[in-house]
Amino acid sequence: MKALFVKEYRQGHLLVWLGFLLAALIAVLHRAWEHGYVKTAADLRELDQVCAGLLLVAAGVFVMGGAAGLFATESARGTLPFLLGLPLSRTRIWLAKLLAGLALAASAVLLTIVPNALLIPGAMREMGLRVYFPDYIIWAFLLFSTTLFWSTLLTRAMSVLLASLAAAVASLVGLVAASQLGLSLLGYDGFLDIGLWALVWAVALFFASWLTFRRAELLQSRRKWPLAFVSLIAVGGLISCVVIAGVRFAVRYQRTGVQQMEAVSVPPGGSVATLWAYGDRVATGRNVGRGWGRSGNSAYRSKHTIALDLETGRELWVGSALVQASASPDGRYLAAGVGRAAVTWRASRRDLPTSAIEVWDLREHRRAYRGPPPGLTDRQTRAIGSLAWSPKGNWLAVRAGLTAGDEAGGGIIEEALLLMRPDGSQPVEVVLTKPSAVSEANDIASWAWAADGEAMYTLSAAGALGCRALPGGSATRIWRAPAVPEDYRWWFNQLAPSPSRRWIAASGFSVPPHDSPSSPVLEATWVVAADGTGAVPIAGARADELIWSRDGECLYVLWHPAGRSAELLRWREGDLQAFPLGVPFPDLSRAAAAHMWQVHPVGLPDRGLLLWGPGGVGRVDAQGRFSYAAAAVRALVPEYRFVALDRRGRAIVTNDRRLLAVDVAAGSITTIYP
Amino acid sequence: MSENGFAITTQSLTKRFGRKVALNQVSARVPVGSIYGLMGPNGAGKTTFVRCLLNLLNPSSGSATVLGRDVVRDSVAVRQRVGHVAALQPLWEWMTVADLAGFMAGCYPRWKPEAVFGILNRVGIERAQKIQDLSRGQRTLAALAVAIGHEPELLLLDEALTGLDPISRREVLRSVIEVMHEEGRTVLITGQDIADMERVCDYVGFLVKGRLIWESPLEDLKAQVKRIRIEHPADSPPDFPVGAMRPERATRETEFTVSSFKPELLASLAGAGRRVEALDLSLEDIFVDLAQGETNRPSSASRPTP
Repeated sequence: MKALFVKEYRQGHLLVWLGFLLAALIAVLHRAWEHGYVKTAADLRELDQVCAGLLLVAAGVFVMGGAAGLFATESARGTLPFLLGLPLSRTRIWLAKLLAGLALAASAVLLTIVPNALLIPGAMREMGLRVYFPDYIIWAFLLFSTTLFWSTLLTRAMSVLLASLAAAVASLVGLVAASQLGLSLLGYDGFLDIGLWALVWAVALFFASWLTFRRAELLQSRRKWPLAFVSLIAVGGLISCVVIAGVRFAVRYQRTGVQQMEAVSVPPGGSVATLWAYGDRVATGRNVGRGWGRSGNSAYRSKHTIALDLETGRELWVGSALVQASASPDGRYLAAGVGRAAVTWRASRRDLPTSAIEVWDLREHRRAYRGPPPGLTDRQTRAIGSLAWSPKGNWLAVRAGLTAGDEAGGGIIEEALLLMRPDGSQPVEVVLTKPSAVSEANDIASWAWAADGEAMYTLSAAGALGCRALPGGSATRIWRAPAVPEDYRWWFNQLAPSPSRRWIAASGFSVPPHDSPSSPVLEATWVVAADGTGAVPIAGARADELIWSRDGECLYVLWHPAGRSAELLRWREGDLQAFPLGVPFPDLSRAAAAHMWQVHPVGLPDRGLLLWGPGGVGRVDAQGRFSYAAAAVRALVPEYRFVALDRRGRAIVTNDRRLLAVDVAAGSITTIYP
Repeated sequence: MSENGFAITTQSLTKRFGRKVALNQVSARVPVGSIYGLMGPNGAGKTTFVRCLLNLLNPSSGSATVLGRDVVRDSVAVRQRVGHVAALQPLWEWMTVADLAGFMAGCYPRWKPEAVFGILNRVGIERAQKIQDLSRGQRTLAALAVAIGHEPELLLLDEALTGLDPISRREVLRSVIEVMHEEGRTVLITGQDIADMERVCDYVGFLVKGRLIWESPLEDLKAQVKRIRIEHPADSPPDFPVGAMRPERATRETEFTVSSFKPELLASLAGAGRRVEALDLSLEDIFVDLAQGETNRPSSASRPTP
């Protein structure tokens, strides 16, 4: 085998010299152009790019050249029977030739690249070897294996080169088309880079070449053609199935080696968290880069969007290139914005909005919807602002902005809420701001879901509270804020319907149009009866937080009056109590406590509120009594920040490396992820 | 190692290329230490037979053993002990003769360079000569020289003498084939140069249309295949016996060839006014008669036990 390896290498050594000569030629041309035409740094970079392209093309040709003659030359020169008559198994002959071909190609490529790395460092930078090295290797393998395959079938090296080129172009088109069109049978569209498929088919081509050489006698029989292609398709298909199964398994069950997390989000009372994680992972749920040659590249694969089951810590879904990922509170659906490239199955990109959304059914593990928000396939581009699920997960609201276009500065001139069912049906559009409106008073300043998700409340900036039944029901006015002096205007910023649908809390402030230090500011918080029978003013201050207890009968109002410590009000129908905060935490100054506390509802009427902040962790019960959390829980505070309360009332906290669930009442801490 | 004294044994060896049957139920036995000449017209299947022995072609059915090894299961082991030279064997032209010898040395577990270069010296081929600078005959000689470097127990010469000048051919016959024969090794020669084969072979086989129609020691062949000439009155010509080959009849003379001659045949053909005689045939005449007889009358191979 060694003798055959040496013979093959010597037979093809011309390729190596060709590589060296080409390297020298490119270097000389670069130097000549550099002195003759380069005037600016941009010119030099352009020249480096040309040289990098030349080097890459040369490398591709050398890779093909290394494999083209391995078998075809033996057939053409009639030396194959002599070779096969040697006391070597066909597998060893094939292997020796393969290794020699690889060595030849590697030598030629190295002799081309290395001198130029020294002489034209700019071209090397343009090639991006440091970033693209795995990709270059994979594509070189595909090119080599394709050429080897054809070398087994054809009898002239030139025919092999032409056939390989044609096959490479056809494969590239096919792979890109498959990646663009999506492979629905995989469960995820374009769920892997085409680089992995290139690797799969490189292996299949190697196998088909080996089998054909081993079984096709003297390679003269026409039967080698069906043997080669049937084995190629069979093995390629088989490996593909294994890879698909493996990747699907990995996508569902593999845990990401997380190094850093960000944008951790849990819907209030939810069971699924979404986050961005930086870390190692074999496969993602979606394609990372639609461009070719981005496979296996950690530079592109390190950031993942992950949906987690808060009960088990299992990764329910992993994807990339997603924005605004949001899980429904019941944990069934995941919605996220995706780039424009994800919707190219449409005939033309011109009519598409800037972004589209995807909705995944995490229970069924399938995509429920993908595309632009319904109703936005029209003429104008809109940017997706945020996604919000109704409390029961039966409606998804997409906040989209109509931009003015590049000519007008690109600012958002109209905003709308686009409501849809998880499968994209029953679209409803609710305009928030209109570009043509003379006054901003009618713009919707705040909106909220009804507890059952079948209606939404809107509050205009001027204080008009309305209710809109879904889908497509007419809006009914519930209440309008009291009149203010002529020069004043209401600005409402808080709206909180109670879970019982009996009450709606609203909070706002009023300032004169031409604000001045001497103008008094009016502030107020109301509880409005949902049936429109009236409103109760409960505070003469603007609330920073409006929090309903789970039964919807108890409202907590937190505000930070200027110059005073934060205060907490508890309102129950006919009953109002105030509790100053900060007092139970003597290690905090009152001012610090006023501005740094975060208050969150635990969710059970008799358990009151959870307090989580730099000063410590504690609970305020329904009677207003404060109690510290356990020391172990309090110890988390300096490092961990509060995210949300999950379905079981546990506080989900994170330090951007770990995600914990804390049962404040019981004092227990559970690591959820990773 | 051989199988019951035979270097090559095939049992109903058949090779088809699509619909064409290149070898048809060939059952051949080549004794150890013999020089076996396998003859046949063009397209008879001689090269296919040799390639099947080296497992360059897979038999469609039947089996073959070489030096006691199955050619399909133990093909590598078989090729380690067999030398093979084909007609006008193409070689890697960029190599020198020494490169070729070195390459071959690396492919076999044992190698005897003096045997190789001894032959090359005798036929006037220098080590430094490139293959592309050699004549066709010299290339065959070079291939022959490197084919015996591993001291094969069996040498397969597939039309290897074709294209050699008389001097080279004689040198090959003397220094390669006869030496191997003296050392008790086996040589299988295929080809159509019957004069050379008659000179060196002690066993012969005739392959016609893929069928082995004759296989025996050369002396047996010559003893059994005879030309019968009968001089007879013009009005009483004899009938041709069953199996008569190349029958010819003139007014007073009838001739035909028989493949199983016995002295009793002369007595049975003799009669009033007839004079019967059995004529010896040259190997070439035997080859022609057997080939034509097989063409005219397909029959199973006659193969006396060697």
